[in-house]
Amino acid sequence: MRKFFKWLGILLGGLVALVLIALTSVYFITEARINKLYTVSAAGIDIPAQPKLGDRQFPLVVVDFCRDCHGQDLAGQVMEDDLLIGRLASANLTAGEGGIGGTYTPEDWVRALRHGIGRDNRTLIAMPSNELNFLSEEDLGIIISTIKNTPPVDNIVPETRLGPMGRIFLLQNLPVLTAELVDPNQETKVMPEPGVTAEYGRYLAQLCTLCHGEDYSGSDEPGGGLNLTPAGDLAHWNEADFINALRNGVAPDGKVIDQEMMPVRIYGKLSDDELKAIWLFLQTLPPVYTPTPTPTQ
Amino acid sequence: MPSQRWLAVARIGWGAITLATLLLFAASLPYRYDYLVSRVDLRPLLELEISAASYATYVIALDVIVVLVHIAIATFIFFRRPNDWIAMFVSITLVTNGSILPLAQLFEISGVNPLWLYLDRVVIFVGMVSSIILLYIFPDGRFIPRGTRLLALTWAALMFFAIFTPGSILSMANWHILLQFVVVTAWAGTGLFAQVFRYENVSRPIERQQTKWALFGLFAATVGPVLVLANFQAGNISPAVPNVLYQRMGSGFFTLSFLVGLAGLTVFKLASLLFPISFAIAVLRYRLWDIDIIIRRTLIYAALSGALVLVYLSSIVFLQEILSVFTQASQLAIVISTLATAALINPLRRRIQNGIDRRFYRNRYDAEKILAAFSASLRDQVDLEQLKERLLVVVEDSMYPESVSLWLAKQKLSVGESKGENNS
Repeated sequence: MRKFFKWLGILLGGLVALVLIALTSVYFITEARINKLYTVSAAGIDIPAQPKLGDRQFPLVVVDFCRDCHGQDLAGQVMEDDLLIGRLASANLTAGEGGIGGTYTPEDWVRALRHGIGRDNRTLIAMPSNELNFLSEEDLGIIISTIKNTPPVDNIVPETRLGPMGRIFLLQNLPVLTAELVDPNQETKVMPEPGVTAEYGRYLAQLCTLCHGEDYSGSDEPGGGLNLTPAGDLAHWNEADFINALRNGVAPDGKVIDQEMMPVRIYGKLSDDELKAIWLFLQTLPPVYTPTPTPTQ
Repeated sequence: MPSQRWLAVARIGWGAITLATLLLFAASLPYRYDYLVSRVDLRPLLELEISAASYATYVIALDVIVVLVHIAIATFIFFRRPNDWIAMFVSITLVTNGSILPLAQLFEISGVNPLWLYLDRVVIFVGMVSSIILLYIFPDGRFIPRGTRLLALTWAALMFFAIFTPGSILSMANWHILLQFVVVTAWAGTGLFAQVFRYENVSRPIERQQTKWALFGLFAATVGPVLVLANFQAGNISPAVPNVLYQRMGSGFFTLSFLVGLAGLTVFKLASLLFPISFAIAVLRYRLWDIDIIIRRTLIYAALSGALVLVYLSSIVFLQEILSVFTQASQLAIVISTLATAALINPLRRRIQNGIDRRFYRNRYDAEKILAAFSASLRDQVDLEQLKERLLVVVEDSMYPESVSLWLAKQKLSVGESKGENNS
């Protein structure tokens, strides 16, 4: 019996040692990726002292999109905190204590938004720079100006960190280190002429790809978006239905759209012309017949 | 007598608090169920193919188990020792601590009757205060070390302001979270120190034996208040992660996080059972408050009654079948069965008692073996203090005497160690 327990102890001790070696290796491999220094030069853009919108609401909608993660006052927040998984915290974007708004130069803003790189030349974590890269220089300037004009809020947000399981996910290509995902050699982005056109709608609708997929055919992830192509979930909708759904959060069949999954409180702020442009663009998409099993309603 | 009057008042207080806790908990269940269903993040549940109702039912079921185990053991202790202040105090601490976390969640839910919330505050106050004070006074009811009396009063005042006047500057709820954590940890720490101090310097060996499991439970009980005031939220249920981030990072990351949270919640809830279970072990296994005698007799007489009823009924049926060949009267079968059953009482009781002692009170049954093993171990034992303690424990375990005294002869004959009220 004593021999049995001796071997059991050796086995368990060996397993613990193996797990510790594996975790240490994972830590050092991922740490090297997290702390990698990036040297990307970003040309400064024109940031107006006060944002000039005209009839367009889209840049403000993008700022509201930022508020989803950075908090309503843009002062940052902890969104997930778990010992094994890690802590996901968004930065305080204001000029208050603990915020980056007072210290970031226009170049810093562009590097963060376009390339996903922080002021310390390291990658930002879980910042959707890749998805926001379609924004024109003009819109980017308005967005940064709007953020810089936000009242300062003192809020020291704890740093984002990845726990052991989070790091293992990272090794399995979890798309979380933003600088790794972004093409460093980007062309200057130009916005199409605003108007009720499919081309302008395409520009605006690129914000939707995050949940609805690159081809707008939806996603089978829990909480994933609907199939927006003409063969999809909106096949029997018309333009008025689309605008009403995004304005009031109610689908044509009377179902209330879940705000947590599809934040119509944000996208409903688009102007009528902007919504019409998006609808026009959606009608030009090639139909995709793959059903989406997890609708957002 | 005044003390009898106070005891009666305390019993009424115990009944009132226990009833209020049970009613509050029962009444809170539909609210908490709706709250859990409406607040849980559906995305990981969809991935795991679990409904929100199943999730809420699981969490509520955990709470019900925890609360009922606490209250059952508390009630048992109360009815076993209705005249013992400290037993009553332990009992009330068990009742209130078992339900403190689910009841604290009521404040997050809108639409709850304000009167209930006030009652809720009273129960939580009693739970928070009693769990720390118990560490200062268990097991004899005296504050040891003496300075703990002041600490207890200060703690009660802190809890009063925190629970009944949450908006005031004196309320800990308005302090920095780090300060709250430091204060609560410090008080729990003084309680643990008091118990260690008492165990090392005040308790007699038999008390140490009786209270060691209870101490384990008391240590576990300090975790509750620390976590409540540190605003610990086991298994965060709110969908705080924006859907855009969720979609960007993929569901696997957050589903695993949800599972970790749920596992943590389960472990935390079940770990809270350490408090009542360790007291139950202390009471049943180590004769704290002599409850094992009651258990033993209950086991013996329950088994005896069952066996006698079985014998009586089966013999009636059997005899009637046989006698029906000779006579139509069934009275004879009843008379014979009754006489036979009566004759069986004593031998059956002895057999059952032996069986129960052999199964559940092995030490008594094996007294000779224990004493032989102890004699053998004497060869390796050289520390006199340990030897004394071991001898007393062995005698206690094997013979269950009313009291034990150990007299050691030194150069002059003197009393080395004494236990129990009377020498024997």
